[in-house]
Amino acid sequence: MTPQAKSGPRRKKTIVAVASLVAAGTLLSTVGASTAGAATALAANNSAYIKADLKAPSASIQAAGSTFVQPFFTSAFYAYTGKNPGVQVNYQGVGSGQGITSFEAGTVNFAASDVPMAAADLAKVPASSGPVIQVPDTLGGVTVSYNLPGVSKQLRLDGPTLVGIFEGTITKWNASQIKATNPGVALPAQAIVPEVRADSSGTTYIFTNYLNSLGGPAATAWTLGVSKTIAWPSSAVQSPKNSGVAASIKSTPYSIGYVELAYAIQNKFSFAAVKNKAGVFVSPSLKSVASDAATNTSLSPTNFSIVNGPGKGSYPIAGYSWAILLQKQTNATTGAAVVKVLDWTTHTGGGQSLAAQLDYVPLPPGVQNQVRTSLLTVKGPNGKALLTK
Amino acid sequence: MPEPGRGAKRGGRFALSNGVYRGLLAAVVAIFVAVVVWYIVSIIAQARPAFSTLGFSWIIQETWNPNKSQFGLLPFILGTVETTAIALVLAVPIGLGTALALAYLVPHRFRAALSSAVELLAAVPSVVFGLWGLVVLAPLFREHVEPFLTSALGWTGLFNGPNEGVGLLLAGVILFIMILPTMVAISRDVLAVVPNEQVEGAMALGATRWQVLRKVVVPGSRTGLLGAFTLATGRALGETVAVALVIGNSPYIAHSVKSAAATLPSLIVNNFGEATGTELSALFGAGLVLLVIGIAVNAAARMLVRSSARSGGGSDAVASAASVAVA
Repeated sequence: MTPQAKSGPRRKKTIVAVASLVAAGTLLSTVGASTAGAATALAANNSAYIKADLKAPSASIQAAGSTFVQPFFTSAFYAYTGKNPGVQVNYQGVGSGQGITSFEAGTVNFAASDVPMAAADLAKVPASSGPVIQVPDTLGGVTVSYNLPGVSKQLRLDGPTLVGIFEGTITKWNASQIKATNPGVALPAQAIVPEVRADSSGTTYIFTNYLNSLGGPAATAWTLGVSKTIAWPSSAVQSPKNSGVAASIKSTPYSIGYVELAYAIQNKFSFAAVKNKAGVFVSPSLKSVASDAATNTSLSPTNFSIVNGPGKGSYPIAGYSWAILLQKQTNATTGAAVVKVLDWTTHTGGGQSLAAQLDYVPLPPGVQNQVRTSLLTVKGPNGKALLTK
Repeated sequence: MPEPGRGAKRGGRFALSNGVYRGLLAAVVAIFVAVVVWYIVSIIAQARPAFSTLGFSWIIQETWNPNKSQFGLLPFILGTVETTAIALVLAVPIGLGTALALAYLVPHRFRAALSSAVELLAAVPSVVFGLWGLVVLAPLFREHVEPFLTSALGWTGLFNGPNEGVGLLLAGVILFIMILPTMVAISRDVLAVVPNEQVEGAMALGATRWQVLRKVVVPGSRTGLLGAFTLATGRALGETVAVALVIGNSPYIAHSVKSAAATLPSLIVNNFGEATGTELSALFGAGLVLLVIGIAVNAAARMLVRSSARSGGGSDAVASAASVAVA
């Protein structure tokens, strides 16, 4: 090949790259414009961030917790600091449990957890600190992703089959239960390798919460409990973090595991359509998860489960992530910055508009209103509300 | 040595500076000892609640299920010892061979390049080894290495079960790669300081190059080689992230070297973030057990060298010179 012949496609590539850069730039500027427009238009509406959010006093905020929300928080807080350079949020994704422990010890301004603090955890917060406020900050789906060479059609799985696979009673891909929901698919006679989380994880909690919610006869009911850590059967391969499970599924043919939606989309995994309460097989997507979340109309820190929601379009494996803060802030400046950052992060036009770009599901408008109502009750040391409309 | 006359004149100042140096060194040693003691005492203190709720037997129980307050450490102890054993079986001959070659056999102009290649391996972060193992080696092991070993060595009964890629074998091999630079770099330096007179003397007596290495160089470096072995073992026992990525983290006793398993450090790193109460205390207990295993390995290796020195009667002066080089 002559050098000239080589340079042809290369030049073409450069042109394509430049064109896509320009396109991306235009796209970004449109998004920016529409965001600004939305802010002014929806200022009166609860489900949009309020302009006063961006007038937070200069402060350095410490926060820690869930790794599930970390990519979202990192982008959201980066964008916030860009608009309001005085405010720095240092969010450490150390895990939900560690975040709660730090919150109880008073070393962080707010924590994030995939499961709200239970009564036993709340009891560990010193009484002098006053009540604890817990608000949803984002919404995520959990996919059942698999690596099944030779099968290109999307698998359809129902709850009892998933129970069997992850309890280790369904061991082959061509088992009758899998065949029953996938007619016409040539399933291989290979052993199933279940891939699960080795570390304690909110993703595990949401997944087992779903399996447990199925109930049913003793023969097919989930027996391993609902928890962030599970005593998995010995056939399961356990990897740390969402990224570890994702990497393991990718490199292991005939494996199947539960992976958070954003990770599954970014890794271009094949994931199963799961049969929902209405009997419809639904593929996980931002839309089907939002539809599932909308079915819990009385969301609260004690009624937080949204798995297996009714509705034909609902994807049944989903959960909220929660931000946790004290109602009585000890420092007026930092406290005001915390509520303003959280309000901006949890509302349309602010953080929630970034969420969809990162494959997180934006909070439904009703939930955004609920978050605003809760954040309005947060007070400074002088008893004055810190979030002003 | 100073001249007697001038030394006498400066005697006072020497005594003073001597005292200052001695004091400084004593302080440095005291800080070091204090940190070690403090560390051990606080680990014991953190692990105590687990011992008081569960007694002592939990350490050798088989079941790890925090949801049911079962914190048996036996599968993890076995996993730790097994992965380290696999790593050492590979690292001792290969590491020693490489070190001998670098110190005596490789032509001078290649030594620098080879040595820096070895040291480059030492600088790779462990998580990168882990990811490499998971993404590159695991498929290779599943498709080629494990089927081959199963057909060649299946009769030993060590290679039963499916080829999963991740598991004890892969973790051991990753550890081997990680401890190789430690083995090679220290062994090479130790072997290189064997006095030339001894080597030349042996050659003058008509010994072949192989005999010189086997009868003079290696026995003379025994203590220093032990240092290399101990440091490498310590690293293998304590490696966390890389092992957690490639071992499969299955809290059950492995019945085959291909099985997924778990080690004490991988248990700690996976569960530490969310552990509270007895579980957290049990994880500190796991750290304590790891410390005890490390001390036991160290003591056993020392005894081995001492007994072989007595029976073999190798040159102890050289051995101690070599151990100084290690220190």
